[in-house]
Amino acid sequence: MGNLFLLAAEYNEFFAQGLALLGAGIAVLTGIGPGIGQGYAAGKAVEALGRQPEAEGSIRTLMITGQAVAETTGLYGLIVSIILIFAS
Amino acid sequence: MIDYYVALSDGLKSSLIITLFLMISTAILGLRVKRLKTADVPGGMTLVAIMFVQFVNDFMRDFFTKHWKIFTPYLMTILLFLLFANTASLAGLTAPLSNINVALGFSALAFGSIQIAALVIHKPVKRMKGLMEPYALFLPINLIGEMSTPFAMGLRLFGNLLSGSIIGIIVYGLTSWGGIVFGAFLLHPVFDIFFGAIQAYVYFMLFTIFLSMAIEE
Repeated sequence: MGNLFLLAAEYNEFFAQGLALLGAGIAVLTGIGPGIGQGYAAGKAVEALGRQPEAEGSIRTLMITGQAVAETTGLYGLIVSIILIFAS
Repeated sequence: MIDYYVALSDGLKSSLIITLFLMISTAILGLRVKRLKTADVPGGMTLVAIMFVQFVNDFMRDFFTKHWKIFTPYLMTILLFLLFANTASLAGLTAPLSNINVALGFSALAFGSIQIAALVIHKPVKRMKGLMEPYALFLPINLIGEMSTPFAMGLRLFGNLLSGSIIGIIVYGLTSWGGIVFGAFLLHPVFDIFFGAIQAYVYFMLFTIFLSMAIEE
């Protein structure tokens, strides 16, 4: 099987490109993680707001900065997929 | 001189333009603040600049206990540059951070300044002891941690700005006149102003936190 892949990559450039595009599609699946994380952060922020409505400003700031940090893993997947599409 | 400028890529060009703009405008604002008498009431851009400096000072005092006066001007300069650089596409420039060289330059900046500050303020022996916490066996893991956090900070900026500009290119490329309406009311407010400002603030905040963790006891 490995031998077959080696020969295919050598003789068919489209095969390699197709695998790179497939890999780009798989890499973008990292978006699931930040989606769950950001939704969880927003839900907890709403809970905190229900408990203490007067702290709305600081809760919003904390939620948005936390979500921006949680976004990082998804962005790594995006960078990997962009590299696979444009740099391969 | 002109040949050097023309040969640069778009992100580096706009980074130079923003640096020049910030140099001139901050010099003018500084002169205006210097001319103020104690009884004068500042107005306009001077007031905005004073409130910005006040905000950064208050932010710094929460994180640094002893050395906040040394690092506040440096960190405020970075925040100011990032705020203007991330919203640069509103002025028709390419966002500088969508170029990987500028983004990794910010990683190198964070890494170098954290290490140098820790080495100067803690002496090298104490710094090595700090890296060997809790045991000497943890030294490689701590070294990887020192390297990877600045790297992640730069890549976060790069990913955000690059994804914004790619979505902009897709929308403007696929639509004719509808794209202008869509871009003006949804694309630029969300991807340039909102995400750009948030990422500038996040970089500034993480930089402050890691610097204060490396320096303070």
